[in-house]
Amino acid sequence: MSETNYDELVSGAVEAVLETMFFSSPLGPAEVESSASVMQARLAFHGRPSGTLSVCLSEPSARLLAAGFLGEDVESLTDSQPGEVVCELANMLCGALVSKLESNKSFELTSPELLPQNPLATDPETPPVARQSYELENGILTVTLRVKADA
Amino acid sequence: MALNILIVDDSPVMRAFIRKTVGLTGLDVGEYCEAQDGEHALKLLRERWMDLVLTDINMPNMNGEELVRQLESDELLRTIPVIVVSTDSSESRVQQMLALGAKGYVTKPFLPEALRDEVEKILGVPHE
Repeated sequence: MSETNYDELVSGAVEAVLETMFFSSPLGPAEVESSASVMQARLAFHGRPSGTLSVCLSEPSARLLAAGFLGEDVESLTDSQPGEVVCELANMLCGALVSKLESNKSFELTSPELLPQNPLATDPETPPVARQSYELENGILTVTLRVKADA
Repeated sequence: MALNILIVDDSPVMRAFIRKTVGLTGLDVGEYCEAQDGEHALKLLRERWMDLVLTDINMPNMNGEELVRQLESDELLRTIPVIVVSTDSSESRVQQMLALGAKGYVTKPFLPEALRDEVEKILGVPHE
C-alpha cells in the first residue's frame, strides 16, 4: 500500500474496538494528554510492514474502560485489571490495524506490555506515521502507530 | 445438556470477557475452565472432559497454533471442537487454523452474537 492513510486506519480501528468491546465511543478529537497520571501499553507487529502500536490514557479513563469491558463496577476492579485492559485494548487495536495494512498476510504480534509513565515517549529511529488523541468519557486516549521502512 | 467450556488466553481480562460473553449467549454451560497458554490447556484437557475449547493464538509457552496441532494428534482430544478467538483477521491465518483442525474462527473485536453464532454452528446447539 503506497498511499496508506494511517490516520484513517487508526480512527476506524479505535471506533470499531471501543464500540464493539468496550461499550464506549470516542467523543471527538483531543490534544495529547500531558498529565503524569497515565497508563501506556505498547506492542510490536512483525510482517510486511513491521512496527509498533502504543496506547496511552489517563488512569481514571482506564478504570472506566476496564469496568465497561468486564461488566463490573469501577469500585470492584482489582489493582491489575485496568492495566490488563489497556494492554488488551492495544492488542485489539493493533490486530485491527495490521489486518487492514495487509489483509491477506499474517502478522506476528508480540504480547503487549505496560510502559513506565511517559506519554510522549519517542523513538528517534522510527517517527510515528500516526498519532491521534480522542476524548473519551473521563479522559483522553492517544494512539501512536510507528511503521518501519521495509528493509 | 450442559456444556463444559475451556477458555485459553494469556490475558486474564480477555478470559473474563469471553466467559461473560458466553454467559450472555444463553448457552447451558456446566463448567468453565481457564488456561493461560496451550501447555496449561493440554494439562487441563487430560484431566477433565471439555465439550468446547475457545483459544487465542498469540500466547507464550505454547501458542494456539501448536495447541491445535497437539489436539489433532491425540485420538481422543481431537474430537473436542476448537474455536479460535484472535485479533488476526487475515484470510491466510484463518485458513491456516481451519486447515490445522480448528472448527471455527472469531476475530476480535467481536459482538457477543458472533461468538454465539459460531458456537451454535459448531455444536449444533441453539441458544435458549
